[in-house]
Amino acid sequence: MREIKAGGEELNGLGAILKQVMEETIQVPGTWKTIRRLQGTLVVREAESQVAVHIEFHRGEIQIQNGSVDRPTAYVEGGFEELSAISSGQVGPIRALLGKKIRAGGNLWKLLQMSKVIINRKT
Amino acid sequence: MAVLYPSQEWCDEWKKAIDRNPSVAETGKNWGSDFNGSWLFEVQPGGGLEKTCYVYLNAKNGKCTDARMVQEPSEVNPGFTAVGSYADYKEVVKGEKDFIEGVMRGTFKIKGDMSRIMRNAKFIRAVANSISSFEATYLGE
Repeated sequence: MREIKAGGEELNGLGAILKQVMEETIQVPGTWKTIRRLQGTLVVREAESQVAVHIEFHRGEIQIQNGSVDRPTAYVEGGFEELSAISSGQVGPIRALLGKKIRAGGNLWKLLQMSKVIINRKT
Repeated sequence: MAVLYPSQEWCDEWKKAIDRNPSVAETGKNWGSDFNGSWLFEVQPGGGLEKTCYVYLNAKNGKCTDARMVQEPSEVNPGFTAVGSYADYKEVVKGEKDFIEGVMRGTFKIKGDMSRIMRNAKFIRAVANSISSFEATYLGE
């Protein structure tokens, strides 16, 4: 069953927002096809508040949890507007990265794959 | 003249502040046009407020169409809700804390279609900024 699990304590606001977005994106067949094969951890941090969540991918099992982790597979950091623009599909992650709207690191190929789970172009 | 937060007078001033903010008009063109873009702010006791109160705000196409106190949440049908304590809301109204940051931290718990919020982040920011653009007085001070 496709689901997003929330681990640990109650999700912070960033986590609650991303969880709802992810619950929709995993229902998109093309997105799920990419995501279900992934393994690793993506850290997402909102730059102004420094609030972070990490999303763990383990072959179709996805869990979101508060805070960061040491040595994630990839990370992305940006302000609320920038993360929102990416998450709503208004700006592509590569364009945002090249335009220095966001910071990112780790395995960039995996970042692009993993970030599909937080991009909802539907609305 | 400063108005008491929360009160109907304060809601009236907030509506005016939203409507004179060019960023709201510019970024909110699509807000509420094909979905319910109204908000209910649940303000929980503390910091001088003794009883939970509710502020209802409706905005459509970059204009505030309604801002008022409601007695019960059942009186309205909001598309989005934000819940927080009076002490925390007060800091936002004073301009001492950022509403978006409060949402990120979970200080304010929001419900509704998050994709809409993400897609209209600049509009949300503009409306949130307008909240501290006029003088207010506060309970418990």
